[in-house]
Amino acid sequence: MSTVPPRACGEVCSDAAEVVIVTGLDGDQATGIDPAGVTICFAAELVAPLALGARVLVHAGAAIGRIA
Amino acid sequence: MSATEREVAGRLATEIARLAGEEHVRFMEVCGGHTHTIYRYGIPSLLPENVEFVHGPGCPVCVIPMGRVDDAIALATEETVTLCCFGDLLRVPGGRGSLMEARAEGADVRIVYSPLDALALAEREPDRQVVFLAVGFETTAPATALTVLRAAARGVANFSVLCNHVTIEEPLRALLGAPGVALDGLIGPGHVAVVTGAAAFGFVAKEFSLPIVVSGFEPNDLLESVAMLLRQRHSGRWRAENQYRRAVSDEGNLAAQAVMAQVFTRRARFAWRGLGEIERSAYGLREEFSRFDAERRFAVPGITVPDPRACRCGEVLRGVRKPWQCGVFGTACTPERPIGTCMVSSEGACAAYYHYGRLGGLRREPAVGR
Repeated sequence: MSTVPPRACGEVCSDAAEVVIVTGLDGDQATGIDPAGVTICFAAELVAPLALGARVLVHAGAAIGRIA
Repeated sequence: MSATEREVAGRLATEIARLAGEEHVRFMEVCGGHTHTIYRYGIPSLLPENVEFVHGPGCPVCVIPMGRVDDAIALATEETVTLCCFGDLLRVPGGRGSLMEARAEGADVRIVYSPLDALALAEREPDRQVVFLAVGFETTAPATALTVLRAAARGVANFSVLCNHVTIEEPLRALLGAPGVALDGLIGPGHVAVVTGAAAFGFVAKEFSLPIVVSGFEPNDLLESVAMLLRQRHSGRWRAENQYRRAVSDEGNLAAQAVMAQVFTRRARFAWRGLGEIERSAYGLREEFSRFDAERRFAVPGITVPDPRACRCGEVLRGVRKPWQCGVFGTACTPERPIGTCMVSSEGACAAYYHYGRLGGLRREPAVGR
């Protein structure tokens, strides 16, 4: 699974999550758009069930929470 | 920041000034993400001078001891091993250089954005032993746990984890119970609380008689959290409040807590940079997942390295010294050539001050020890 394409700085922080809008669902996997406009793929089972358009917090390739 | 957000910020700043009065108050932002926001947006310049931010131990890269970096380098230099880690770990100095330097010398070190990427790499390259260098608090640990469960379900034999996941509660207890740490309240880590729940921070109020507010990461989130802390001070009743309600519930993410409990067990003790060894403050893999534990699969040396004498990261992480009060800050130690971990990560207090300090407290607080 490829989660996020490399960014210019080549860094991802070890403990910061980002808000992603869900654009696709496929079982335990989902795709979404991150704040930079990049489409990412992430594990979704920890916040299941999800709906398209939901906003979730994604960290290290897994959604860990929902944004109300 | 929009006009509406600026208006809200102004209103909150006015309320904070009114509530703060003349008394000097010190609030610790536990999370490095908050430190980054505070200095990136120049929040101290909006507040009265008697409201002071103190930085806490919540940057996972900053608290990793040098010996664990050396352990990772030792693994990475094994011929069959591909070591995967997040990008902010690459430049963290160990006693014998960094992972970036090890890579330059030929070690197979790769940046990943998720432990799941490391697992996919192991499946693509079955002849390599792929080790994921796992670092982070409860925010990151669920993704690692999920990856181990997937590795087990798929029977991936060449994947393992060098586990350095840590908890937030035990270092906070150690810090708040230590002599010489004078605080008036804590800004709680929002992303950790997404997993643990806001109620998990109730011990701060109950056992240490301090207010704590779990906060979001926008500038106005932090301003509102400061106002909430001051309101608690005025009421004289300490409790764990939740400013970040749009993401954090009282009980947290129960599914994430369940996968962590399934995969991890608490280590008896773990060494923290600046805080020393703290009991039950880190996670290791449970016996049933020992085949994915790099410390059992390989001969990890278990190196112990004292922190460099010139570096004051330990005191910065305990909130007893400001970054610019370190003799090497901004001179021998810069983001390009860091000596201490706090200068490496974008969430580290030293890096935040280095990049954005002129917007915040540096303008009014004199340099010490430089």
